[in-house]
Amino acid sequence: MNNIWIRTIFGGLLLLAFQILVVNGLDIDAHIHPQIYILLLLSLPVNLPHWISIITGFFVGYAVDWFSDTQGLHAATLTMLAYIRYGYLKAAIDKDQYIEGIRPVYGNVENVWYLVYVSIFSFIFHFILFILEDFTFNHFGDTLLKILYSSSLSVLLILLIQFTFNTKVNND
Amino acid sequence: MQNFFLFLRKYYHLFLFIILELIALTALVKFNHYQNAVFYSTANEVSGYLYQKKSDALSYLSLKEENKRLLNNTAVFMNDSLDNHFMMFGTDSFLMNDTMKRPWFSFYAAEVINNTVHRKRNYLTINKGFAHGIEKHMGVISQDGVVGIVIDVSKNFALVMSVLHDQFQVSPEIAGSNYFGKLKWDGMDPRMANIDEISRYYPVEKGQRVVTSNFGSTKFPRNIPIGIVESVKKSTKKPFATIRVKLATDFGRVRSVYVIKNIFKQELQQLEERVEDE
Repeated sequence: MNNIWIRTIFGGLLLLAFQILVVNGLDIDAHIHPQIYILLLLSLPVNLPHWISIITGFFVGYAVDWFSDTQGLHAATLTMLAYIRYGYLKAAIDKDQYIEGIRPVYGNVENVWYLVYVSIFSFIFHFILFILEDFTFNHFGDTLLKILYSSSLSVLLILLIQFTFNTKVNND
Repeated sequence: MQNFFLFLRKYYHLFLFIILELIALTALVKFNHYQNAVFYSTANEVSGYLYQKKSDALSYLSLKEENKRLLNNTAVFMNDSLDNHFMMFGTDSFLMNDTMKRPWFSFYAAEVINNTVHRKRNYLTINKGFAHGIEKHMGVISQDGVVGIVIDVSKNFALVMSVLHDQFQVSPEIAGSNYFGKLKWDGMDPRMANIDEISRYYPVEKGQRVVTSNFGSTKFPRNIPIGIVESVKKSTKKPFATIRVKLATDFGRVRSVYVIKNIFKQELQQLEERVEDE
């Protein structure tokens, strides 16, 4: 039990550092800003009390804001994501798995379920994030492209991270 | 009363969510009209320190290029532009005389430790703060051209609003013509910006240089390059031409910058205030 929490927190910090120092520095195109740190929120145990995941969302988002001069932007988006995630999990996951309190990560759940889960939340996250960032519908076509490209790349990166680092965690 | 507590208990998730969301959105909207919160930006000591470390580690990768640029720059200085009225004061800051042969601006060298170009509002973090004499509202340039304006300062770091920001303002001038307008970045391409408010009857052509003007700015010296005219669109329906400018500074790779101190800023401000009072 303890081990899992230490690993979650440590892994979360690594993921945040990776997002802030490496991914945010990617300079591919104006339309590509993948935000992979949402994996941190998405991997929280399914039966975690709702208020804890909302607060986690707020503070993790706040931390990213702190390092990227976007005050409140990520905090607002991730809080909203945490709120939606609770409802989604309640509806979309088996009763048994819910009571057991598994972490919805690759290997713990069905592959297709996981792909759908990550894709939906990646899309929602980038959608809210870029709409809030632009604060206008003037360049909506560009914003939409940004949302599509960034969320697809995020899904890909998140899956790669899961394939690479999540082989042993399953046994815990 | 009992019911009220029951109600709160039942929906406390929702309330928690709304409260946190409001806090975040307030911060977001407040930051749009920038700001007084150095604690909550990359210019604070914690993230500043982290970015400094990252920058130190990565700076080796671009040493060769940086060296070449410095050599070129030295050559330019030696050749023509600043023949005798250029003085070095130590290695960290120097004074540059303008045509009046009296120092008007002094420059502090600084290093960019964090930088974004692909957001709607872009900022740079530099590794000099008020401990080194940097103040709010100072202009920032690179060897190539205008970079931005300091908007927040902590002890060792400063936050610079880049030209790539929808609230950045500078009055550009078509070199050698005295036509000045308004520079605006449209939020998409980090290499290009637009100039408004130059009449369509002025003969502006592709390839002309765009520089800072003296008009309305105490932040930049005159004739600092902003960019080169890339295209001019004139429509009979509009009084102004739409001029697209290729920016002189390559924001993706700007590393060393100079922060500009206007030595006469206080005097100018006092004068302007006196006029306003009367």
